[in-house]
Amino acid sequence: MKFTVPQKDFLGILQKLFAVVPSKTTHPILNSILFSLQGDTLSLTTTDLEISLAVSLKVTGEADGELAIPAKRLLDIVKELDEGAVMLQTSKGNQVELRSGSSNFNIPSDPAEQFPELPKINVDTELEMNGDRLKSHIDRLAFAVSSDELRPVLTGVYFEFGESCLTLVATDGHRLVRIRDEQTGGHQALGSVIVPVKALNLLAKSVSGDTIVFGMARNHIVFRMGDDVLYSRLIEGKYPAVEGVIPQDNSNILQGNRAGIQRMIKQVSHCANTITRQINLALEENKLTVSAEDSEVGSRGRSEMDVDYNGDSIEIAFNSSYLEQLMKHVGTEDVVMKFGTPDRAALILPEVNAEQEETLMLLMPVRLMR
Amino acid sequence: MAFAPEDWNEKLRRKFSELSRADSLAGLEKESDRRPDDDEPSILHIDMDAFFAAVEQRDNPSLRGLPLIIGGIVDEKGARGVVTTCSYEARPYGIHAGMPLSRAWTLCPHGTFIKGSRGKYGSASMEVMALLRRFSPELEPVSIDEAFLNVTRCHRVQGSSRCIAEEIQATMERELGLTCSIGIGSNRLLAKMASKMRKPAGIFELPLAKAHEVLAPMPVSKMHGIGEATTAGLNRLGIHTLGELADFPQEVLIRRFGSHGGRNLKKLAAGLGSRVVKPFGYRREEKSIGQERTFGRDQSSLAAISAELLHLCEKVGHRLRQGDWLGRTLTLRLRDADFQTCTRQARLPEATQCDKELHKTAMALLQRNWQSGQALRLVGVSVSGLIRLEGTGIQGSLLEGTAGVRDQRVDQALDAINDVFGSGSIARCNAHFRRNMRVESGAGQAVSGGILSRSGSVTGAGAIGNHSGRL
Repeated sequence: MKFTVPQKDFLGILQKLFAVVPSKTTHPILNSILFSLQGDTLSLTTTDLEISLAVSLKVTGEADGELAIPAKRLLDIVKELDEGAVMLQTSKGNQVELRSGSSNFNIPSDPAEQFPELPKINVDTELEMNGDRLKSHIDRLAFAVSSDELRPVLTGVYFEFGESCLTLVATDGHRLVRIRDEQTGGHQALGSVIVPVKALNLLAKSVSGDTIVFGMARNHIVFRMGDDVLYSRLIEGKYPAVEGVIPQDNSNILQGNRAGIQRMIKQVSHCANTITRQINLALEENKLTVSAEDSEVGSRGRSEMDVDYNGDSIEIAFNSSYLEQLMKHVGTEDVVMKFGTPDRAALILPEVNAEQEETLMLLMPVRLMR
Repeated sequence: MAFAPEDWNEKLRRKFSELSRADSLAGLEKESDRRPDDDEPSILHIDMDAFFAAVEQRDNPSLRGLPLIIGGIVDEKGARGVVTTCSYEARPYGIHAGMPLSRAWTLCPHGTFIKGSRGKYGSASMEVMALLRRFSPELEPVSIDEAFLNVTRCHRVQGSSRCIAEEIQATMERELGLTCSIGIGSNRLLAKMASKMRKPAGIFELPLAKAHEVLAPMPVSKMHGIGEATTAGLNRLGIHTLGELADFPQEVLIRRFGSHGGRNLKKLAAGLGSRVVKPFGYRREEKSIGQERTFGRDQSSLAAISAELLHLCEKVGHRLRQGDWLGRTLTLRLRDADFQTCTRQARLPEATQCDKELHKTAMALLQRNWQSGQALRLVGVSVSGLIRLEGTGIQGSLLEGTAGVRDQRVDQALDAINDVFGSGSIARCNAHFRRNMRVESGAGQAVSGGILSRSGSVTGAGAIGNHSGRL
């Protein structure tokens, strides 16, 4: 194998691939990138066995071939090279030679056969979607998934392809974000799937305004963006029924400046217990008071703000980091919060929804014991 | 004008300290008036001799002079669990605390085996501690049968440390009919080491000046704080005695045992330890709360293991609630029939003190680390990452709706009943029936979620709040 490629293009693509390389693995070969050159097309693949990314790059090819090269070492070297052409070729033994200007590097490689084969996926159904739109959805809900490996279904984002819309849900059991996208309807044949959040974060990183094509196979989802293909295994299991959890009759409605409320929460949270992060919200007519206290260290904080509120006087406690994160992702200037009783979930909504879209956030309060 | 007694005390104390300072300033206190041990801290470590066995023998004269073994479970098939204590008469047979009861049974088949009663030992322990407190207020009980006593400031009135120790032994024997061994040291470590030297009913003094001489020939494994693994590590470095350890270069120890471990080993070898005795009323901060149980016979059915875990989680949950703690991490301990132990941890979805939440995580860990049908000898559950509940609440769960609130009420109702009528008066059915569970029937599943009272009636979990008043 021998080819020449501009350093900038090479670095960009290596960085994209490196995001898939697992940080810890029992199979050392997964730390490598599979290189495959045919004519002037270089195909590159990485996988962690759950998620695989295959991309291709135009190069000046001289000799076809296939090889697996350790990703980290290659990336570290290419990062430090001057802009200009980089030449890569196989040399004797299992070495690869990398040349750029007057620099010359030799790094070990492995035969391509050792690299796991990508799943042969027969895509049953496909659907097109605007890349930016999907990225915006992911940015607004990926933070809410759980990292609890004992509840694997909650570690992914739930996609439900309905007749009139695509519904996306992320929850860790304490907070929930649901986005309904009415522009992407009519694909009920795709059913519903749970996609690992790592795959979606990768997708959000590499997607641009182009169209994205989703394909669904038995236990995989495939995203195609131009020449790049991202495969991900789906999370098996039944996603909890979230519709029943969404309160319908939270009649105490607050509307206020989102950035202001978020700042207030952040300020006061510095006085909250660092483990429970509990803050208390007191709602009175047109006034919101946020307070926190840590009796262990003796800190106390309190902040007030004018808001539109005509409901009952309520005191309700939340985990400040959950609430702050939700506020951050609301996206509009004003936020609408709907409360029921202090032990029921509160709804957090944007003041207005984007076109053909509906966002809903839900946060379970902290139950006071005494 | 009336003074509150506190004011008087305070005034007297201040006056007294002024006077004594004035005395020493004026050179009134002659060197010869001072006792040699006035400056050197003097810590006593009081270790009761074969405590549980001694209590049993005291209360039941027919047991005196017999090899008496206490611990675990004794049933028709023999003994399970481990030896908690054995009388000195049993020791020549090679029996020691921590040994599997089955082994003790083989070594001394004619011995008397008793399951023992925690309550009895608990109250005996309280009597012991109350007695010790008469000698110095600076008493720190470290377990049910041992305590540290700081007598540094008691010499003027009560004489030397040895006098105090002799007086403690005499009083203990006279008033409580129990014997103890006492170590006298310049710090806790030396006191602890000294109390082991003249067991039973002995007294041994180990001041820092004599520490090297006494400790140097001892094998490293005899040192408090050096366990099996560290001993093996030290032996590999060619270190067998504490003297060799004291002379060994610290850098090498640090490289092998880490910065903290290496330094600590050097300190141990030199006999250096803490002198702080936390006085009465000081509550040691708990780091974890756990319970474990050795089965009466090895269990291999999921239903039986799950039931035992539920029972343990109920106990751990109860203690969390008693202490106003929330736990964040759960540790599951499994030991199979071949004594292979597996310890696995998981972070709880949310800090909790709820029995069912603990059980759910314990079960998830079990499913990942236990092969169906594998026989288990012991299961244990412990919760760490404890947070004080004071003024805080519990994060609610979206997916369980009001179940969290209901579970909390059930826990509180069970606690209230068990506190009044005794531990185990009421339990969830699975936990209650765990002993009779048949291996294949999975009987526990059938009554899952119900609650059983001691009278035998079953009520639904949700209804317990209403029924509790009638018990």
